[in-house]
Amino acid sequence: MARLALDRALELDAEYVELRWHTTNNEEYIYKNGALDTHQSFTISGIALRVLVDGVMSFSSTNIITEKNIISMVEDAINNAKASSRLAKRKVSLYENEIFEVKYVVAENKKWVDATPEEKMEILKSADDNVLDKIKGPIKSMRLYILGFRKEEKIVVNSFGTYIQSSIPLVWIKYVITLKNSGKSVQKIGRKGGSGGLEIIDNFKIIDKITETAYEMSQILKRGKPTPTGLMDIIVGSEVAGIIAHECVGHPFEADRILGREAAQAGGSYLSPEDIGKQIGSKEVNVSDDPTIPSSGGYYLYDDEGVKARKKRLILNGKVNEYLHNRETAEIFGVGSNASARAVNYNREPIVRMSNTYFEAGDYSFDELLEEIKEGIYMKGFMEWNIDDKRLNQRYTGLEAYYIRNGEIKYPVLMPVIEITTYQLLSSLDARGRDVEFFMGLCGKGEPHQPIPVWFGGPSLRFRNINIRRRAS
Amino acid sequence: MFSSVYLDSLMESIYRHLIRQGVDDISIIGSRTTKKIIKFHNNSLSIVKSYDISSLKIYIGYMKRRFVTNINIVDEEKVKQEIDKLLSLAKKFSEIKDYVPLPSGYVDYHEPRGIFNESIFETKHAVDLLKNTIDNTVGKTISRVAGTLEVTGIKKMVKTSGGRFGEFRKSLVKLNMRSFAKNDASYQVNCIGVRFEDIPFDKLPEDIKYWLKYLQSKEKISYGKYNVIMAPLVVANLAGYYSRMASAYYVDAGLSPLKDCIGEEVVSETLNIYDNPILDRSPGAIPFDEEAVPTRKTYIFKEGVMKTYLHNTYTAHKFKTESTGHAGIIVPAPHTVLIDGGRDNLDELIKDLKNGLFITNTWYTRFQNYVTGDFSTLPRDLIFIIRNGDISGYTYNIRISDNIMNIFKNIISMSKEEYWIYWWDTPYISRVPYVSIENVNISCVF
Repeated sequence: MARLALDRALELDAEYVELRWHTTNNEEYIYKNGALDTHQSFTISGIALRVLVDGVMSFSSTNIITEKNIISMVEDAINNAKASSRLAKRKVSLYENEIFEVKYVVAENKKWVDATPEEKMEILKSADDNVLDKIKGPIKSMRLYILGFRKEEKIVVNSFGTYIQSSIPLVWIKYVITLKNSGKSVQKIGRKGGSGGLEIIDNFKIIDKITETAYEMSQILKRGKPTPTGLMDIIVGSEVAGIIAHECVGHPFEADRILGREAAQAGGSYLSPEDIGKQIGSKEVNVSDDPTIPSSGGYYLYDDEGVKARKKRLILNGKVNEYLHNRETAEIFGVGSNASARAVNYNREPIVRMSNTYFEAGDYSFDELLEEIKEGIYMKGFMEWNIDDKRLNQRYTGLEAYYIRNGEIKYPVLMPVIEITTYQLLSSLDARGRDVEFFMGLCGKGEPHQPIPVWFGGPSLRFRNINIRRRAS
Repeated sequence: MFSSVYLDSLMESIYRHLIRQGVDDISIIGSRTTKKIIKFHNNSLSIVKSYDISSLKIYIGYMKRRFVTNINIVDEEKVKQEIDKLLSLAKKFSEIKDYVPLPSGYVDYHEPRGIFNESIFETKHAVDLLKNTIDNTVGKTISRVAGTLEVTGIKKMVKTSGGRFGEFRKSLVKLNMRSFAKNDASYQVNCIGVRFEDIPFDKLPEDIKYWLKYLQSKEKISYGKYNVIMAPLVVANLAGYYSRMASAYYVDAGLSPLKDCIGEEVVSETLNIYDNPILDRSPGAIPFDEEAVPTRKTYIFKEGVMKTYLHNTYTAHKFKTESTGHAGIIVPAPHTVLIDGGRDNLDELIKDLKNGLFITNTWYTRFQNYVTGDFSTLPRDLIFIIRNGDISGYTYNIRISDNIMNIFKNIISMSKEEYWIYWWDTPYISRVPYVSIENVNISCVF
């Protein structure tokens, strides 16, 4: 059927044709306040088509997979391209990277389908029991956990000769924990997981991590003091390091944003095409995006345009080193695509996306990072964050946060706020830990939305002279 | 257009299959969506996209267990296989403590008038309208525009074991356009309707240029409390989040500050926030929810007082009340968010505010704690400074950092103009006015 569609599109003067059969099977166990709430599943399956006709890119998709409908989809896409060509002042063309014919599968050591519903519910019950055990006392709690599974299967073919077949499973736990005591409350929403089977839960010690978070939350509730404010040194934990890497490095390094393609939705960038080589941070700033990390949340070996994936060093020693490209932006920049084209489902076009974005490890132990701080804040985790659409003005409000005095962690502090520009923040980084950890998220971009699985992370990072504020409301 | 014979027969066949399997409760929601999106940036076409999506959402209540399956495969045998697989495992799931059957018995659905217009699918007309709008906007003041023009047709059906069946179809036209002046200051317009005539294509270029004329004076402001006028894009964003928190599910899950607020005055006494999915010519129209309960006009807040949470049958049972027609099988949610306008026009709001800020758009609303309602959101596009009842310049790099309860408590007036809004960062299709709010906490980065 793919051959038929390719031939028909080429017959109708398409310069480029791409088909993607794309199926995602998702399953979720929702466990609320100690009992199973609901089980839900999603099966999303269909065919995506892109054709390039006289420099106009046209996308079409359908989940009615018959020969007649596929041909009709091809003709519809070609007709739409021709009907819209009056709006095209610039012609799209695509970079021709090396061609691959490959099949690859990510193995599940503990297969999701082999585990019974009781076993899956037991995972959540065990998480909940451990959390309750850690927060006993007068604290009231509300707990919501989702054990999720997503298996993504794809075949990508195109008129360059690409054939990529892949199967990637993902497992995660999302949790929402709210603790209340004496009229105060703290809340954490988090997600940990990766690619593979249910072994991911044990391999990444996910239940232990959730339990540790709940314990820290209880301590914040019991012992948290108002945060000191003013200029001070800070250490951020891996979760905060990761969100910084994702928001103020990953997104603005997406070449489609730099070119203005997402300007009315996800926004633009503080960078321009000419900024390769520009110093935008201290020499300690080394940020990469790497989809090839085994067991990662944003794992793939070939992107949705059939380009072979590799690690991309976005910032090297504080200098802009490489942007994230698909074939279209690569052609404009005159570089090869670095395999950043991803589509979340069959009914979405592949666009430039991150995968696993992180600060590279340094060579400090956590104690070494601490010992040089006279007065400061350790912001281990966060809840509220946001950033402007050029990725310059950002804010991270700490949840698991502590006061540091003379190289020692003293007590929990309440909601310290870092509100700062990207240049100020990246210029203030002076040391990186060895303790890299990753967190899972669903990155938002695209119209219609394409929430796509990613990892974000890094080691503990030390920044000098950061203005800490209290959260006002 | 909109043949869905296969979907009708698929729903019927799946329904009969489930009955044969001895299932207690069934709700099948079938939908077919056809959509075209013309995406543009730097005044030129980015891509044209078309979609034809058929899907089923199947709720199964079986032996006091609840399952929801969303499936877009239209192969009957495959759907049955998926369902059978699920049922074979059903006993291995734990029983739901507050299980409740779906509602039953004959009901009438009120289908709003004027919500489907087949003419929206004329691609040539859509391209003409968009080309004229872009050409008339870009020029001396505005150097580039980006956005999307989207047309959508939806056919939706529901069939339940409560003996109910409903269907309707609707069209949508949505324009989102962000315009950039030569100094990169920007202004964004977003309109949604059920036909091309609902979008003021001819008027938009002049409106955009009108607002971008205030670009001569860019100023920094300081951290503190300001009186603020929020444009409909901002209001729709914040009211969307707030209305979502009225979902009984979120109240129960600790994701809302509205616990124990029924009957309490929690928003400004001038304010009505409600849902009306049966409004004629509404882009948010929908006559039934996912449990086949008829939808109706529902006040969440009336004259400042919280009237109800949003319920499906399950949450209503748990809260010992009736469904409000807002299923969401799992999570009840608003269908639309409406706020009544006030007496003044925008110019009068600006004059009455005397000194403060006029924020035209926002995005990236995030909460520190949903129970307390502490949040921040990032104004984007033009943020005007108002002095002595007039616009005196604009500012940048600011953030609203406040509490969602305070924001809606501190509303002092609304414009009489109301606008249909829905874009990338609006939770629900909304019809809202401009609003004036006192003492909004603003933080900034300079």
